[in-house]
Amino acid sequence: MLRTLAAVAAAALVACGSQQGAPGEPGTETGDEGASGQLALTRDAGGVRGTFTRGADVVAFSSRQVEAGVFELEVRLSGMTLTALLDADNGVSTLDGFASESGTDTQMLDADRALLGDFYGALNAELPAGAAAGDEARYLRRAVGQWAQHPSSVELPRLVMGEQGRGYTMLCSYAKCGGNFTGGCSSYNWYSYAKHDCQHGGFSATINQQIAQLGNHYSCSGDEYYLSGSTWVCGEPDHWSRPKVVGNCFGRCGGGCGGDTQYTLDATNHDGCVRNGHALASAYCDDQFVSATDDELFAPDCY
Amino acid sequence: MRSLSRWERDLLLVGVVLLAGCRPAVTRTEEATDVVRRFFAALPEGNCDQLAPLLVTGADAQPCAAVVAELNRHAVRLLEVESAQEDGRNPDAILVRARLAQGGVPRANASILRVERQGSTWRLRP
Repeated sequence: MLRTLAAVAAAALVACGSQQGAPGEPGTETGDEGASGQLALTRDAGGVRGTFTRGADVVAFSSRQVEAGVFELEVRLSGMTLTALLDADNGVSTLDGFASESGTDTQMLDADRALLGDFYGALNAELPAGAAAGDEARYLRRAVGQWAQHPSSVELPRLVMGEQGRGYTMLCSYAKCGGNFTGGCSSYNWYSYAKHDCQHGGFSATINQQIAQLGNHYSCSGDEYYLSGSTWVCGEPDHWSRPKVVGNCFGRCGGGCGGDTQYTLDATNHDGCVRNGHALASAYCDDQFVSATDDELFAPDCY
Repeated sequence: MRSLSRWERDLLLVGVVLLAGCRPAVTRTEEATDVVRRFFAALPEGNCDQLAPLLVTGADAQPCAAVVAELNRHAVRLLEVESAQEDGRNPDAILVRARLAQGGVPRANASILRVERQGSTWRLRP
């Protein structure tokens, strides 16, 4: 009788333990793969500069420290100039974008984002992760990562400041599972909840929330893995009620698993929006994008 | 002072008539702004017979029904148009800066809406 009970209990435990299983192959700590184009980057006492070429498209860039802790960046592509003046010590930046020839306003479009996304991938492939890249290159990479996600409906000239009294709400602890920032998860460390607002009832609506395992643990060709019943599916749940999600560096600033390792509240909410039934540059996620910008530029790395 | 000759009087009369009937041509930005206002005015009803002619067409254009359904699903509404100006990279595109509400709540930031010239008409790119 006792052996029967034990066998039943063991079977039950095995069933519970394998109910969710593992989504897939553990993610590796590399930059985005598959970026096309050629990066020519030069470093000297004046900072970093160079070009990124993809077919007929050329991106010219420069980044230099103009005074202690203040960096001036410029990226030019497709008749547009993007500039940033970043005061890293005070967490304040002035961003701008305009038509190169006339200096008048322009707008970020799909083709611009695609080119910047490839440029970002090339920077990730070329530069060391995190602070090892050097400040000029690191802030350039962060700014490019931010511009590569810039929605068309958000204007280019912006003043970006961290919210007073709050700093950056870091979620580094939630980026670990089993005590590690990378690799598969023998057990999960769920963060509740990634949230965004739309007409369904705002941040408190359960269909605008996800239960997320942050961190670089799994990767797939869709937006993420989400749990459908007892099966992990690669893709994007469209306004499900609090689905469990993991993969592709959910919660990390920048697109995908870029070269910096900042996991923050605002970045998590932004991912929760663009990976929950909205496109990356969806206007419905404008507020989350704007809120996450200061995190992406200035929040510290988790590791 | 001498009196006007007959042809001088006729010329003056023509000038007065012309000035009275002369109105400034509608500017490109005004046309684009008008498209935005007409689109959002008709949006709640969701009738694509009215809305489709206000939206861009072409291979990369989203179907009217899908655009309207998503905007109405999120209850996106126009509060006011703040400004409009030509896209510095494309003279056939106007950037309309507008305040929108979503689900009855004004969005925290202004939105840039793109209106493009296709043929002789201006159309909104959703």
